[in-house]
Amino acid sequence: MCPVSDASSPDPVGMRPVAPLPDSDDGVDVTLVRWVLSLSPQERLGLLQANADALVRLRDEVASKR
Amino acid sequence: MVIGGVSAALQGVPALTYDLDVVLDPEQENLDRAIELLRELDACFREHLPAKRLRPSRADLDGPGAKLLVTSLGPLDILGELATGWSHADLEGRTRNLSLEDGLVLRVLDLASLIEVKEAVGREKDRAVLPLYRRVLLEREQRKE
Repeated sequence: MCPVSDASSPDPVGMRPVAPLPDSDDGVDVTLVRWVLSLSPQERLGLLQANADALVRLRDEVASKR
Repeated sequence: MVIGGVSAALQGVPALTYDLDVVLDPEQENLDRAIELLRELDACFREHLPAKRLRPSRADLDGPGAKLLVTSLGPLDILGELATGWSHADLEGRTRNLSLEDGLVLRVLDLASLIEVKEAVGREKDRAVLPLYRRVLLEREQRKE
């Protein structure tokens, strides 16, 4: 069975990025790359841990509201 | 030796990961220390959970297979080798030492090698991150890091 087309949805064939990223033809956000590279390994480890902790907290919050 | 996503993140790749991937030095004394640490961390194989908490043995640490564990500090994957022909000995000389707090030095697989392995393995999940990894490597080379 074919999916039903939604007339209000945009045509995916013609979709383009809303705001092209600077200095990047591969879709990579170089501003984020450069910011992370400005950090020390210890700071990158802290960032990784903080993000993981935040996701775990968010997951637990969602689970507690079910 | 730390490999995988944590190694990449510590070298500047802006990507999240939940597990720590390591390749152990297969020297017997090192494996003795590793199994002792795994006991302290209450490590067990993920594949048997939640039905059974099967703990890794000293013999499990020998050999090339992947030991997919969960510990009191989070998921830990111990690989006998990173990929075919990429054992601990093969990875010697492809590492960087990163200095962390309290004088801790972490040995990680260098980013160029991580890219090389992902290109060689070529799974969809590996190919998906290659543009990001390559861009970070390029930026680092331009900074002469």
